[in-house]
Amino acid sequence: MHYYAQPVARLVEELMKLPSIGPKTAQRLAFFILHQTHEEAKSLAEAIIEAKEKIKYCSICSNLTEMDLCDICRDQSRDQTIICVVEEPKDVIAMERTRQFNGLYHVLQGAISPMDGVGPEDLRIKELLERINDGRIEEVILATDPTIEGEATAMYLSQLIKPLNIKATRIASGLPVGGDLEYADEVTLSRALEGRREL
Amino acid sequence: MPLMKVDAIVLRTRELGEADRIVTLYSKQKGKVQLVAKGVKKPKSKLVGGILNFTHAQYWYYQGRGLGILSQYDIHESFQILKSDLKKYAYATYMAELVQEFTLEGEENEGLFLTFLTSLHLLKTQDLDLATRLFEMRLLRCLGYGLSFQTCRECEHSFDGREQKKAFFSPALGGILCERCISKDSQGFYISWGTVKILIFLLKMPIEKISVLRVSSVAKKEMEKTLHYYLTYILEKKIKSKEFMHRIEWIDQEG
Repeated sequence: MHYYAQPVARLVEELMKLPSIGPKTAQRLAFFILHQTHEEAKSLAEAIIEAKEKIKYCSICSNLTEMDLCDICRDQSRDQTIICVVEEPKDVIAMERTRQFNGLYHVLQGAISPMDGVGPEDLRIKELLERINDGRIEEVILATDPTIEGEATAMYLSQLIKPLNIKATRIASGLPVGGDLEYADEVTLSRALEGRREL
Repeated sequence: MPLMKVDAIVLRTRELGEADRIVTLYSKQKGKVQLVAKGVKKPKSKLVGGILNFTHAQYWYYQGRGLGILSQYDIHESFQILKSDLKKYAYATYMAELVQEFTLEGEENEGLFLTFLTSLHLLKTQDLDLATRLFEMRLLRCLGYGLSFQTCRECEHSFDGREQKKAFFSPALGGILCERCISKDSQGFYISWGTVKILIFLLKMPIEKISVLRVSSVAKKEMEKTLHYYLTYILEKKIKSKEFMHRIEWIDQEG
C-alpha cells in the first residue's frame, strides 16, 4: 500500500481484519475517521480499548460482562430454576429482546462441528453440567441455532441432561411469522407440522 | 451467467459474511462444487432447507467467474434421520468429511457419488460400523487407492490357498505383506485372515447383503483400525470428525 501515507496504510490494514470489511470499505472507513475531529477519533479508539480491557466472560454463564457476574446472573428476581442454553452472547440479546423469558442463560461459546474439529470439550459444557448439578435447576431450554451444528449440540446436551432427571426442552422451529406457506421449503414445513400445537 | 443443474449431496456449509453461507456439494455431474447460498441466515430464506448437510437434491445455480450462486433446489431425500440421531449424524459427517478431503473441485466421479448416496441410505437402517467400512472400502476403490489382499504388496508372493491365521497389514503399501517382507513397513500390524475376508466381501457383495452380515466386535475393531491407518496415511492428516465419533461411543444407537 505504497500510495498511502504509512499511518493511513496501517489504519486501513487494521480495519481490513474486521469481518466483512474488504479493502474498499476499509479505505472508506479510514478516510471517514481521518475526517472526524480529534476528540471523536480518540473516543472511538478509547471505546475499543475500554471494551477489550473491561469485558470478560461471566464466571457462571459465560456471557460477556464487565464484572465477575453478568447482570442476568446477579438478578435474583429472575427464575433461578430454568436455564436457556445458547451458542453466542448475541443470542442472549436476541432472546432478551423477546421479553418472554425470565430465567437464566448459559452461553456455550460455539456449537459442535466435527468437520471443523470443534468437539464438546471445546465448549462450555462442563460448566453447564456443574450448574445443573447444583440441584436448583428444573428445566434446561436448548436454544442453539436450528443449523446442523446447533441441532447436533442440542442432541448431545440432551443425552447428557436426560439421565439427571431434569427436563430438557428444545425451542420450536418452523414457519416464520408473516411468512407464506406456499413459499416454505419442505424441511421447514415438515418441522412446523411436527411441532404443531393444539389451539 | 449460465444456469447450471447438478444432482448432488451437501457435504458441508460455512458462514460467509452477515447472512450468506458457502455450500460444498458433491455432485454426480461435476464432482465437488462450491456455491454461495445468499441470505440463508435470514428467517424467510427459501434456500435454507436445501443446504442442510447430507441433503440429496437437484440444485440449480448461476455460474459466473467466481463461486456459483445457488438459485433453487428440488429435494430428493433430506436424510432427516441422519440429522436427528446423534450417532447417525456423527457417522454421516465422517463419510462427508472423507468425500470432502479425498476429492478436488470439478473432478467428476459418478461411482463415488453413487457409493456415497448408497452409504447414506445404509446408515438409516443398517449397522453403522459395517455401513461405514463398506463406504470406506468402496471410496478407496473409486479413487484408485483400493486395498490389495491377493498377493504380498512387496514381492507379489501369492496368498491364495496358503492362508495363515494372521496377515501383516501395511498402511504405507496399501495391502498385506508376506512373512519375509514385514520389515518393509515398521508402521504395519497384524490382523486376522477372517477380517481380511470380510473386507474383501464388503467390496464384492451386493449392497443388500449387508443386512444379513454378522461380524464380531473384534473383527469390527480390526477393520476400523486397518482402514483408519490406511486412510490417514493417504490423506497425511487427521480426520477431524473421527474424534467426535469416539466421544459419543457411550450413546445408545437408538438414542
